[in-house]
Amino acid sequence: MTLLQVTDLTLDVALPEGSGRVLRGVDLAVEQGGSIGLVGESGSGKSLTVRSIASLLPAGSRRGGSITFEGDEVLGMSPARLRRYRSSQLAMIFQDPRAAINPVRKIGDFLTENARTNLGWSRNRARDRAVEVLAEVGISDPERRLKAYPSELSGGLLQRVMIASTLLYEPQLLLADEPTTALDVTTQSSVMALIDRLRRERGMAMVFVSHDLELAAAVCDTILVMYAGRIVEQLPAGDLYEHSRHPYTRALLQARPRLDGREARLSAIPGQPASGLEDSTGCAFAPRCRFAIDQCRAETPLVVSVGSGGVRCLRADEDLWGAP
Amino acid sequence: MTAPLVKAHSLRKVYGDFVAVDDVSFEVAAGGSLGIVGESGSGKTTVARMLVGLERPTSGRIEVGGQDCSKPARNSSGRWDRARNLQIVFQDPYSSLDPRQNIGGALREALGVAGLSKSETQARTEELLALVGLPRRVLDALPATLSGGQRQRVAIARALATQPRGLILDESVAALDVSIQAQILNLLADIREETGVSYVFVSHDLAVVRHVTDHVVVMKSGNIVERGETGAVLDHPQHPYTQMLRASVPGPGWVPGGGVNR
Repeated sequence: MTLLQVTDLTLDVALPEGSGRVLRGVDLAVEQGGSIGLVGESGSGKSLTVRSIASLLPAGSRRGGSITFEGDEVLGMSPARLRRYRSSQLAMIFQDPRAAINPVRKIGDFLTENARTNLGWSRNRARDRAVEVLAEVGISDPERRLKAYPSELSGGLLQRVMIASTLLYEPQLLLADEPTTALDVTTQSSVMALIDRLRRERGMAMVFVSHDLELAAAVCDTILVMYAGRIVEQLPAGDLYEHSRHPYTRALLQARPRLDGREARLSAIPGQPASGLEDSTGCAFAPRCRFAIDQCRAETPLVVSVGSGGVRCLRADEDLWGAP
Repeated sequence: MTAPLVKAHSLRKVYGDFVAVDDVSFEVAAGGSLGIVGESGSGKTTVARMLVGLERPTSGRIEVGGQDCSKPARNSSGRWDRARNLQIVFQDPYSSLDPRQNIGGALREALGVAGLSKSETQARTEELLALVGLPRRVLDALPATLSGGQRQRVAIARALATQPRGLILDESVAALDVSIQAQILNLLADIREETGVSYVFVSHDLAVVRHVTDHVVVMKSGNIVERGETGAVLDHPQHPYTQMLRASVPGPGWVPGGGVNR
């Protein structure tokens, strides 16, 4: 069953010189218990898509299209319904736990605040549950940690506290925006293993935002590649390495240096990543694409179904990568 | 083989009770490229900062181009000598450039140390821009109007201004988007080929280190736990810590949490 459905989402944000369109028609669906990975570079719109889902938008922005959660339109939710949606159905983890957790309150306050103020739990119930969830994310001596301040914990531990805070209640959808980007690789590995295990145990769905295609492919069922405010390719994570078709997806995979060998030269993508703000006729990636033809610069590509995915590329049906 | 450019012998750095770097020794060949790999708190950045004189070692010896650099230079000519030996490029191109100084000013200031004439400075500025692939018009631009990748090119150009024999690159591509990171890595390879400059590449990213270095040292808690040719160390890591680092990198068939499959 579909838990979250985003249809033709557009977003205009306020800029000094007027308003600018940063999301240009995003479509996505998350099944109950499913996981999607939103991948892209700076300015692609992946974080704003997630913030739109949580209805946490920058002041002065205008949203178009539709976002439904269990069939309810998020934009049309009453304040009470919206509070219930955010406080008990959604969970959010961000890149920098130090910026997301109040530095002058103790870990225990942070963990129990939502349950006490929004869910109406008693102090003892919230506290007992906080001890349980800290233990569940592998933090030793949870009783003592409740009395610690965020500054006393390392980044990896603090991100575990963030994850623990999502376990206190039973959210149906986890929004994770670059949750391990600020962590060391070994910590990233264990934190992702933790998220993965807890998510599966609880049947919690996930929208995972990352700049790291390989990481997203390892923890998600479906990959959505974003560029300049649009989803340019959607495919099962297992197909990423062998069957991705969009020139941008392939170029991103090839631009990373390899761990198991050394090329003389990396296949860099020329130019810089475009954001949705750059109003382009035709395909937004065309200026950087080695396969672009005149038609690509004139015509905005629609989604073409390929296998069990979809690609926004006029040349999706051609075997661009077959020739040496 | 020529004499090494950098010789670090038994470096140690202590802050209060905390030993940040302990008994670290390595050499960087003239024209060579050494990777220093490790995670937060491994001491890799402290080593980089000691090499360029931003930190003073508690004990141990640093020799650059045959000169002892373990202690601060006595006078400006001593500092100038060192500036010609090693320069550093930092991680964050947003905070490493003065926001109120235009790019031309930043490059001229670095060149000014060399005591060049006005026309020589102008010619060298243009040479530097060409070397890092930036158009002339950025000379009048402030850093705020440039992208992250362009700023990092400026930082590299500024570091190369004194024609140093070695560059210390401290996580210099970590903050860049993947597509831009590849451009800068190719640029660094070109610059090394063109100028013969040596690199000390400090990074947590094993794939990046593999791409730009010949030799590597792996640091953990202030110590070097493994060293060797980069390819050999990454293909056949001997130390359990290096093995764990290697196993933590996502890729085809990877599962988080230590299941290794590549």
